[in-house]
Amino acid sequence: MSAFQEITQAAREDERVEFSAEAKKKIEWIYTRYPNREAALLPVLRVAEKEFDGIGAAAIDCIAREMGLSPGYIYGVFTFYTHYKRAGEGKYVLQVCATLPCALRGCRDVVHHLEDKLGIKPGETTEDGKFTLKKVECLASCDTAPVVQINDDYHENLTLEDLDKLLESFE
Amino acid sequence: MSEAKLVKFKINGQEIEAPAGTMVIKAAHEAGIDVPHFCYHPGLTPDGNCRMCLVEASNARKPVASCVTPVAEGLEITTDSDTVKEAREGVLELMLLNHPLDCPICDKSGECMLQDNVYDHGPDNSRMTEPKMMKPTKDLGSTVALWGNRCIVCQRCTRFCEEVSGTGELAIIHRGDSSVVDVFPGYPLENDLSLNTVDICPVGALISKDFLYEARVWNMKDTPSICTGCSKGCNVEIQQERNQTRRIVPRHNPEVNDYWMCDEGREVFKPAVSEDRLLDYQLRTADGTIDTNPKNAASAIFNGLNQVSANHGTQAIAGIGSAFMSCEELYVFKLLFDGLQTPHLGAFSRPQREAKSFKQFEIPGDPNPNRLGVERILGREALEENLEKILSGIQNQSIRGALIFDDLLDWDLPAEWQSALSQLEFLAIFSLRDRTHLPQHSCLLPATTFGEKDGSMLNGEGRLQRLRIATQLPRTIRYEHEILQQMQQELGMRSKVVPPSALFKEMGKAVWPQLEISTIRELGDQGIQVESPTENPQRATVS
Ligand code: SF4
Ligand code: SF4
Repeated sequence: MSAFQEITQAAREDERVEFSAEAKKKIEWIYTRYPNREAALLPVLRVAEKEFDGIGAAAIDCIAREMGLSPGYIYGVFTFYTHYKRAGEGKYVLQVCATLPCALRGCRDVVHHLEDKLGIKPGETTEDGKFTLKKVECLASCDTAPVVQINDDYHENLTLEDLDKLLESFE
Repeated sequence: MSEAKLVKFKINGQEIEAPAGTMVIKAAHEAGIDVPHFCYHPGLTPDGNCRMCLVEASNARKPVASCVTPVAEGLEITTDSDTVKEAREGVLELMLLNHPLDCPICDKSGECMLQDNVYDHGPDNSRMTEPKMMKPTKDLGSTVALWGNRCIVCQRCTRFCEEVSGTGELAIIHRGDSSVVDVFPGYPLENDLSLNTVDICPVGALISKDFLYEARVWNMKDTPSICTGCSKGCNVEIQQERNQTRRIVPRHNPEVNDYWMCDEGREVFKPAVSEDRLLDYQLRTADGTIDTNPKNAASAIFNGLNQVSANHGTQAIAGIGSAFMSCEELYVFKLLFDGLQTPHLGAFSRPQREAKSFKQFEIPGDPNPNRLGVERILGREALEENLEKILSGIQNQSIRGALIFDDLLDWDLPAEWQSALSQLEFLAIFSLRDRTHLPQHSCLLPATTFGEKDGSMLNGEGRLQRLRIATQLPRTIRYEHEILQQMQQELGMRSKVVPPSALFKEMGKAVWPQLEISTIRELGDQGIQVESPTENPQRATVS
């Protein structure tokens, strides 16, 4: 083992996390629904997202050990998608759809409004850790554009007033 | 294995036959028809991601990727139509959108598939006016660095880590035009095969840190030879510039190493170019005068050994070769010591280590390239029993003179040997490094090493393979086999000094009676199996 490897592995050991028994049970059930482990990776990432409140290096390391896949492989799959919550993102993740139909229906205004209001740019998180703003690709709800997904919920046909009310309702 | 059924089909009107299941690109290449590609590599499973190998097929409306299209009876393939040419141009224009085109300072320049493919098939300009994407330049591990901007996301490297090394460090992260190769933070690319990813990267995205900025590849000359890092004997290409080896890369041999080699093997040329390398002869007489003329080496050794046998009998001298000598050297060595009438014939070898097993590659536990050659030529006992006898003989002073080979790369003589040897009345030692603690009456002689000799070695699987000369010896050095032959001449055993090819002729049938070839040339570039691997007990790896 090279010095390079030793240092980085030591760092990793410090941050180790494990799935709870409940999450493990859920994962076992997910396995039964897929032909092999690779195929079960997306739903397992969903479980990890809830379990560890966002996916970071420690979570990927944990999934790798659980599923017997290389962390690199999981990292590649995970970064391909924008919709998983990353470690360090806020309590509320505001995903503004920025694809064409939403753009035609004013999503830029939505983004600018949120930028002004929260004082952050897309990709950033407020200092109090409450909000993360993201611009994302199609949320498959073009008929109700503009759309913002906040955590698991869609908020459709949004006006800026709706948005203000919504933000106030969050703890 | 049952032979797959042959199917008949056509490429550009030319009738071709290939086993069913063969991919079109492979059949085309075998028929000498060029199909440009990036992600396809014959040693990896096809992926069809780069789209460079598009061809027209009679069973499809749109161009198809020939690396994932199997041949079929009656299929007609076109590789040179306007449609195909246009498709290639399109693919290459996209590939160059974000490519930095920093060829002047790129290590891959001159052996880059992107350069070659754009030169042959690319568009003559780019419509791209937007700023290019920027990607990281960083270390991926202790041997390989990434120039992210150059990556064309062909996934050869990630497939290598999945399929061949099985270590899975590399992945493509992000998507679309942000995609790039990376490792998961904290899990660097650290495996014994890591540098193969640099060889197969079609562009200069993955770079060997050791070779970085060492040479422009078009200035180097290639010589096919074998690695002497261990008993596997991987087939390699030695690449040298101005008589200095710069790099060793694997050469395809399906019977030995396929397309790969290990990282350690790429270092075997280091002792040859090391600054500490011993370059001068130091022939010391008993009264302390030093002669440095290589022409006198043979007689100095001969006289030294003779004096010992005159004083104490022929049994008081010993010869110790090594498992790094070629078969030809071992053969002359053996004849010489038979002529000197001593039974004390041994050979040094590097100690066994743990074998390493990867998904599609084994690194054997025996770090000696020609141990089996020693066993066949000097006898199995030379490596252990005889060595022990010689050591105790020196310690109890029944052995008083010796000629030894100390050419085992970085391996150093164990302490007990060093002190024993310094007690001798006379010692001749072929070495790669300067040696202190020699007896007063001694000859210190520069040894030759990797890339410098012609001859053959028998790998751990019983395959006899050819070593070739890539770099000429430093001017001051003579070949060991020549000096040994000159000593034979002094004994009246040989009329003239001959090259290794002639030694091979003498040796061949004497050592392997069933040998079907008589000249070393017939070993070819892939060697020949002279012993059945399964009959060979040494094959079992040490755990
Ligand atoms: S680094 Fe090289 S081999 Fe790996 S995906 Fe990029 S271009 Fe292909
Ligand atoms: S496996 Fe052995 S022979 Fe092959 S490259 Fe490595 S050291 Fe050289």
